[in-house]
Amino acid sequence: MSWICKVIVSRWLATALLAPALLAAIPARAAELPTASVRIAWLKNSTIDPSSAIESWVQEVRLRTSIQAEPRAPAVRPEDPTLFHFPLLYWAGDRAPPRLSDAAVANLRQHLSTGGTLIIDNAGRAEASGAFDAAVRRELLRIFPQPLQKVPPGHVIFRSFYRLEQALGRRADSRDLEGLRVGGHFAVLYTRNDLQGALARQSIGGFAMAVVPGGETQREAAIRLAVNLLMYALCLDYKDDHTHVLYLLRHRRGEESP
Amino acid sequence: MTEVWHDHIEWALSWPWSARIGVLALALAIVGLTWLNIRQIRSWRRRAVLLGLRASTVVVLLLVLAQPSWVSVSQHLASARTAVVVDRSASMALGKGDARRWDRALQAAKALTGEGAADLYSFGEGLEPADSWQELARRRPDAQRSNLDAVLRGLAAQRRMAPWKAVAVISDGLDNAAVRARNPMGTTSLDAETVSELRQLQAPLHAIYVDDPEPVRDVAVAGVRVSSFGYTRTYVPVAVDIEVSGLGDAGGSLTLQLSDNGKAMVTQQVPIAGPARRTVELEFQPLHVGTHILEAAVVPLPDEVTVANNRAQVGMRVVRDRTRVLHLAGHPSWDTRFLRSHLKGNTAVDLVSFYVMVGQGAGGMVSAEDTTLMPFPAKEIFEDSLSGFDLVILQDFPFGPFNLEQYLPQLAQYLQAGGAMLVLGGPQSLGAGGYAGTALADLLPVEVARSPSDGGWVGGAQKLTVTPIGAAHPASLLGRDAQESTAIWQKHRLVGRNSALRPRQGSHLLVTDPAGEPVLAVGEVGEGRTALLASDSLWMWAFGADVDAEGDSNRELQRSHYHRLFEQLSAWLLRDPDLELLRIEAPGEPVPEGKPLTIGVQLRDGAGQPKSGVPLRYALVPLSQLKADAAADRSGPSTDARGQATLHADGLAAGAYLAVVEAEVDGRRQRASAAVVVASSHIEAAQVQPSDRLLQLLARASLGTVYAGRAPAGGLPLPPIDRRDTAALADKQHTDLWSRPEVLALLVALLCGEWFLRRRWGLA
Repeated sequence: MSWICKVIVSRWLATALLAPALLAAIPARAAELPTASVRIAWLKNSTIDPSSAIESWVQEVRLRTSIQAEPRAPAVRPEDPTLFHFPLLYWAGDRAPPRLSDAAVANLRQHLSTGGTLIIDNAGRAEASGAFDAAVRRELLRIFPQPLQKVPPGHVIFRSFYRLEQALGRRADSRDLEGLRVGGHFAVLYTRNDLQGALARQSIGGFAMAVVPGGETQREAAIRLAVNLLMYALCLDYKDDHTHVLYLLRHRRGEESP
Repeated sequence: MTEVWHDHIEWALSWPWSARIGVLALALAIVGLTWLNIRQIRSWRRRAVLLGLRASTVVVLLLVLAQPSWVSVSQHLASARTAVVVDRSASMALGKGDARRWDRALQAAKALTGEGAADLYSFGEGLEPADSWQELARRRPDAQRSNLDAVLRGLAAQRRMAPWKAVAVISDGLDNAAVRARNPMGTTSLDAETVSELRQLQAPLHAIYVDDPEPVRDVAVAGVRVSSFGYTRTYVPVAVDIEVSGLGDAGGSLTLQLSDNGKAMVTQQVPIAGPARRTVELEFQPLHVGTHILEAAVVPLPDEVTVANNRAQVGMRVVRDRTRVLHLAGHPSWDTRFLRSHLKGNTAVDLVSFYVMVGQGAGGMVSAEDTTLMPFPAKEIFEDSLSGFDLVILQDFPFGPFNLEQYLPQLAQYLQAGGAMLVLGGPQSLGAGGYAGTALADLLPVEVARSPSDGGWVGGAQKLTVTPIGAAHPASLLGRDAQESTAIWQKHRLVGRNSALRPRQGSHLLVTDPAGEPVLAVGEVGEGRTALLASDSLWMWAFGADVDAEGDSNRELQRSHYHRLFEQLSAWLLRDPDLELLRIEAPGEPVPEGKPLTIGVQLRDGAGQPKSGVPLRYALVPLSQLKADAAADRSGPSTDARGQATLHADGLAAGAYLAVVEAEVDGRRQRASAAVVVASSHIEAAQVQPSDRLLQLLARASLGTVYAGRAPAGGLPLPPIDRRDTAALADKQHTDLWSRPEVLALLVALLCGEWFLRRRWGLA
């Protein structure tokens, strides 16, 4: 019996002695380090938790494209300096979010002005949340003194990877995207169709919510929109390059030529 | 010849007739009034004396107004003669044995001077009198110019001594001075200045055109024509004029080679058969900014009469209008996004991008119909278009999946020829991307280890250490000087880097991690340059997300470092002269042999301030003997307060040279080089085929005749001329009479005498 006690005590002691050393070996701010791989961070003032949807979004992106993205979706406060570790931010809500602090407004303004992208998703259940919509427009006016504008149908966002005709989500309330131009590109993109709702999965793997009215076809369109949005954040107007435009003109859908 | 003097008076009065009549009337009026004044005098003798004195005064005044001069003229009386002028330029020595042009020219001269009354001359740069035919025969045909203009001017001057009955020029017609310059190929009538010179001879000019019995065998590069300036990577047309003679319709071809600063660029075979003079059109793609010396050379054929004319040079200045960048990325990432923004933000950059958009395992998930994907045009890029790019960027680009291997020879050739490549690392690149052991790895400034234990990639934050070279290197200098730059680099970090890299011999390691593992390295491949940045997280600088620098709360500074680093890397890769601390300015045109060569030097420090008092070393290395890293073994002057100095070199033989200048700035050797060409002064050798074109023009304009090969059997067709001696003005002397003091004294005496007598005889 005594040897059992000795073993337990010695292991306890060893653990007690080694634990600080092991903890010290773990980088204290490892979680806050920016990484070369792509991460989508969501703003903590979202009124829902979109982690599951972002993980699903990233999984789809990794399956379909060459983008090296991390499934983990960190949450970040908009006034936190670590906001700059995440060039792509996601803000979702189904009701009015808390008002942004002045520090958060300044932080977001600098983030978006220097190359960051913010995707806003209206996650109202039955329909787009009017309260969230109003709050978003109000807060955006505090960040940039200009109203949201409709993203033109022929914009490169709709062909940054997939050829898309409309911007659908779990709902199909609006077929358009809205956005804010900063420095020649859309730094803010806003969908009112609950994009995260089409992407969110249950813990056992299946999609969490039904997509209406288009069913799985609409869900695929929503996933494609999500892929295009991430691709646009990374490639900007790459698909507007002369070489690509020429190729696309020669190879329109259904008009393949040698 | 005798000398005769003639004396006479010349009047300078050039008044109109009305003025002359008026003055004469005034003079008569004065005399008349004088008569009226003295008519009451009873003694006619006294009246006569006073009237005579007044009239004499008026006459003397009229003479002074007319300004008479005493002119003595000397004249030589001489017989009109024939001038026989023999071309003594080096081209007259061509030909074999007795068939030399010079020998046949002497025979013609002897035949002409046999008539007597001929003055003998030879000519090269100028007119050279000869006392006798024997003296002329002792001269050697070695003058380096054939200057017919000097002949015409010299004979016109000689005409002052004796008029010419006729002038006979014996030549192969290869003038290479003013007359040819004023009457280029294609001219059908003589220019006005030459015609004026011919008229001063007042005699016909006959030509004995000394042709070759058999055309000499020669190939000459008569000229290279190119625009005086061009743009980098833009093809420039080059026209090379080639003259072929003595080869008949021989088969085979000539090998024409176009070199840029001594480096062969284009080789083309030109068929020998064809017109004697033909123009070959070539294209040349300048790769670097600065002075380019183009040399066109034809490989000599056996038995060519001379090879001195087988090459010709021309200079051109090359500037960069836009920078054409090919950006190939292995996948979209934040690094590609911010680099694209940086490149697109520069309006002087033409960006062509290709990103690999689909992973290898995604084949079943995407279809070409639903997406805007296009196939990676590897063949078009690497085989057809690569040379049109100034800079190729490979960003985390995997080696294996895209059949890059088959295009590596083109990439290596592109770099060898002066291209530039920037490789940005990442987990799909270098050791992690299968570069080890490939030809692509051989182009990098680092060596990539095979099968590294860590997979070739190390994650986590990476501290940075700048090397002593990197602290002041123009590509990595981030501060005003090396010290500030070192401090800035130490503040920055990267996240993740490629591992298992070793610096390559001859390349420069600029930045490492604290353990000395390469992070930023630069090197040279042939004429090209490469740089490697072994990480894919530099986007953090561009976004102000670098964690260590975050404490400064100065994201703008981080961004400025990002943009400065990429601008400097690009400029260094593209050999931008503005980035070099040491710059030299060499002549853009070939320097004539014998003239001093002058090279301007400008030295500055990393902050752009002039660096004074730095001793320079230099060398002028013949391009034909050029070795890599040629040593600058001559001591030169030190830079002045403006950081400038001038190097002079004398006595350089004709040929192309690389001027190499070195200086040491902050302990680091700076080196600059530029090509210069010393052009041969033996322009006589540039054209060897006889041509009667100019002789025909001269003879036709002076009513002379061109005789081919030998002197006319019956002598020159001399114009009918008075065989009596002809006077030629030799001297003329003027002596002014009106301004002499005796004239003034006479006037005073006349006036005083009249006044004295009037007083004595009781008149007012």
